[in-house]
Amino acid sequence: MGDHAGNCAAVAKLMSNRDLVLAASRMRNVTRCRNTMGEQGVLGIRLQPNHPADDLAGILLSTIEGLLYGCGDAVIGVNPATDSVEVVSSILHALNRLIEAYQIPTQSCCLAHITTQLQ
Amino acid sequence: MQAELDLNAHFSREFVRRWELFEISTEASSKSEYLLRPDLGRSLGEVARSAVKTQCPQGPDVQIVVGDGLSVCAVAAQVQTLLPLLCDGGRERNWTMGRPFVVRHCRVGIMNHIGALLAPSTVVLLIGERPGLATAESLSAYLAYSPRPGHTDADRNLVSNIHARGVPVAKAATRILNLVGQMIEERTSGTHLKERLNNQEA
Repeated sequence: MGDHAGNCAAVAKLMSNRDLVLAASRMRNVTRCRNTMGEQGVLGIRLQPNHPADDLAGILLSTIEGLLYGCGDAVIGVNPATDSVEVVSSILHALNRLIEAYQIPTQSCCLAHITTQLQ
Repeated sequence: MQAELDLNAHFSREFVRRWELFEISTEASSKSEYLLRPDLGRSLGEVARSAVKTQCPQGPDVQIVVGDGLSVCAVAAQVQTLLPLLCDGGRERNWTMGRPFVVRHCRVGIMNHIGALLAPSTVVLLIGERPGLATAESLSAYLAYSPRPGHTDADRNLVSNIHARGVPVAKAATRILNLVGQMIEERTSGTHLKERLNNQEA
């Protein structure tokens, strides 16, 4: 009872894909940024082009590969291997250049610790 | 993930002798118990505690610990190259280096107990990463300044993906030593301390 969010997180971890689809279909949460997410019957996919050495060419190549499969409309989100200001800003700038160059209707993020992102 | 760490099988005899490595185990008594009970992988029993206390000097600048974690394969592949680079690099910087040892069925939280037992300025834990991404040979180095019970990941820094196609061992050693240096200088670790990458790294 005390930790509602924690219980939900734990249950979600144990759910199958079908469980997740069924539960999520009861909740409508439409959000708009450069595109619209969360409408009835619309699948949105996150690309996660991580690279073990945060190599920008490697990240951009797997981003393009994912986009060619039609993925990445939800967000292009990288989990960096190294949590440093230099790495995070270089990844964010590279993804932004890609999105601008091809006018891709999506958004990007780099999931470093919030204190690193603020710096 | 199920493989058991065996000092004499995974390291050369000469390596074990040179670094006077000895082995302790956490309170997880088997690999399957370790996987099911993360809490046991973070605690040491009386036998392990007294082994550490009697065999390691108190209060070094740097205490290096090797843990199997979720990949014995990573430990076997990287530690024989990485450990000498760290120990030699530390001595070149005039740090006192503790006696390294190996922890079987090890989770990252064990750093807190080692901090409490030996009171080192910094602890460097080399531990095998969960396999399944690029390779099973990937090692992580968790670092903490003066770790104590109650400390969390927010108090630690990390160099991850140490393997041939990720962060190569030589580069990892430099980054770890630089981070230890920053910790000793700034007397803190974790989210308060940001790793400074001063070359083309980014």
